[in-house]
Amino acid sequence: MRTETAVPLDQITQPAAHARADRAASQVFVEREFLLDPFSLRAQFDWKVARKGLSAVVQPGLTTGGVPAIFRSSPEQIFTHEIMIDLLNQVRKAARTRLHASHASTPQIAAFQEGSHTWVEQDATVAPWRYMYFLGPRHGTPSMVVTISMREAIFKWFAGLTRTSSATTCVASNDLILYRSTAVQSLRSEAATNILNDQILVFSGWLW
Amino acid sequence: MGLLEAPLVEEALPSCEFFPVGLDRAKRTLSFARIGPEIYNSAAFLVPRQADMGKKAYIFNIDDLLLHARRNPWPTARIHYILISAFCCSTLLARYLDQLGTVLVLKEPGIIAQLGILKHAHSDLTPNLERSEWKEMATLSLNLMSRVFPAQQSVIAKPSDFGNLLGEDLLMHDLRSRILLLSVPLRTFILSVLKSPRRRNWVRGRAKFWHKNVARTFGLEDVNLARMNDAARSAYIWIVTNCLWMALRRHAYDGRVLTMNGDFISANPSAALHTLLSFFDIQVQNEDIQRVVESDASSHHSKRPSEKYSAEDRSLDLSDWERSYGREASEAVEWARTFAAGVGLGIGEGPFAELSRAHAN
Repeated sequence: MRTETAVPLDQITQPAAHARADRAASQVFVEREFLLDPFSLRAQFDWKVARKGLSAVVQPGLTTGGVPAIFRSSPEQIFTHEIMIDLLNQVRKAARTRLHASHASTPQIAAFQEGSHTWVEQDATVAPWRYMYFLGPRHGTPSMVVTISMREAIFKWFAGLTRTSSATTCVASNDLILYRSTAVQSLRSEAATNILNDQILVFSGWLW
Repeated sequence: MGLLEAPLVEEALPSCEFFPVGLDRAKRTLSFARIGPEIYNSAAFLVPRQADMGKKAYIFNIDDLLLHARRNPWPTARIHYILISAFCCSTLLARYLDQLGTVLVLKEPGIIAQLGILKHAHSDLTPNLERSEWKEMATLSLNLMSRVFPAQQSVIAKPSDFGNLLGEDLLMHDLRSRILLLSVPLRTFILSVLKSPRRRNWVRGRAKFWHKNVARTFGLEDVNLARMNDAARSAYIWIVTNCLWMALRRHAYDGRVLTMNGDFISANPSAALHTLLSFFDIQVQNEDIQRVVESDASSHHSKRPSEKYSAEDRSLDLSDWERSYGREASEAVEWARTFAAGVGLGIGEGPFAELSRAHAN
C-alpha cells in the first residue's frame, strides 16, 4: 500500500490559487493498492449479479439526460458480513494512521455508467472525514478521475465568507481516498465500456 | 442463533424490541435479538442461550450505531441498577418488579456483563484509545438499556455479578440513576453455593476470573485457588465483590447508593419493595405492592417459575444446608475473617463486609 496526497489541478496558475490547491491537496489522501485481496470482494459482486440479475443488486440513482448514471446499493444486499467487517477494519486502520480517526461507517455503494458525475453527499453528519474505495473488475485496470472540491473560510472570524479549492487525482481499482466530509466530489469515468459490472464500484462512507 | 442481514439502523435503535446481546470488539459489531415484552418478562436471564430470544441475530457495525446515535439521539428513560453478590434473592426481587408493569426490568443483561469484562481486557490499541473506545461502547450500550415500551416509565437493570465491575461508571453515565447493592451474609452465601453442584462449578470459574483480573487491584492475589475448597472459594468471591463495592459504599454518591440484605426480600417482600421503590423514586400505590407480593412470584421458584417455592421453603432449605455443610462453611468463614482483615475489611454477621476506618474515609 502506497500513500500519496492528491495532485493539484494543472490549470491553476495564480500563486494564491496554487496555495489553495496545495491546501486542498494536503487534505486528500490516496492509498494505492489498498486491499491485499480485492478480488474476493469483486467476485462476490459479480457472483451476485450473475445469480440475481443486476436490477436485484443495484437500484438506479441519479440520472443524466434520462439515462441512469449512478446505481446505488447497500452492502448487505451484495456482500457477506465477514468481508464487510474486514474491509471496514482495513479502512479504520488507514484512517487511524492518516487522520487519527478510528471509526468507519458501513459504505454505500455506487456504480457508474459513463461520463462525468458530480456526486454530492453532504449532510448534517458530525463526522469530519469521508472515504471512497474504488473496486474495478478482475481483468483490466479501469481508472477514474476524481476531483475533490473543498470550501474554506477566507477569514477565520467570519465563517460566512468562503472560497472553493480543488484537488484532482486519478484513481484506479483498489485505491482508497480519504478527504474532508465538507468536500464535494466529482467523478469522471475513463472506462470505455457501458457494462456496469465491468466498471468501477465506489464504496463511500464516513470517518471520525 | 443464525446470522441474518440487519434491519435499518434507524429502525432498530430507538425500539427496545431490538435488545443488544453481544459486543464484538475486534469486529466492532453489536448484535441484537428481537424480543417482545413477554420475553423480557419471562426470561430469568436476558442472554440468548438462556432465553427464547428467537433464531435471528441482527448484526450492526458499531460505528453505524454511534453515528446514528449522535445524529438522532433517542430519549432515554431513567435507569436504576441492582448490583448483586449472587444467590441473594435478586431474581425474586426482579420478578416482583416485573409484576408492577410500569417498569422495564432487565434481568442479567449479558451486555452489561460484557462491558465489565471488556473493561479489564486488553487489545492492541494504546491504553488511551482503548479507554475512549470502551467508554463510547459503554455509553451506547447503556443508552440502549434505557429504552422502554410505551406503558413504562423507567428501567431497572439487574446485571449479573460482572456488573459490579461497572459500579461508578453506571452512576456517572446518567446522573438520575441509583444503585441498590444486594447481598447476603457470608455464611448464607457459602451454604447457597455448596448445596448445588452447578453452583460449585460456577464458583470455581468465577474465583479464577476474579483472581486473574481484579485481585491485584485490591491486594487479593495472595491465595492459592487450587488448594482451596468450594466453601473457601465462595468466601473469596464474596470478599472480591465487597472490594468492588467499596468505592460505592465509601462515597455513597449523595444518597444514590442503597444497601440491602437479600434475606429481607424473601422474609418481608412488602417492606423491601416499599424501601426500594421509594429509593428509586418510582411512584406506586400500596395496592400495587400488595398485588405483586400476593402474585405467583411469592409462591414459585424465581428461576424456575413452574416450581412452587415459598419463603418458608427457603428457610427450611437453609436449615437443611446448615446441617449438611455447616462445618465446611464455618471453616471458610474463619479463613475469610483472617484473609479480609489483611485488606482492611471486617466480616461480621451482616450481608456486607465492614469497612475499616481507612476505607470509610
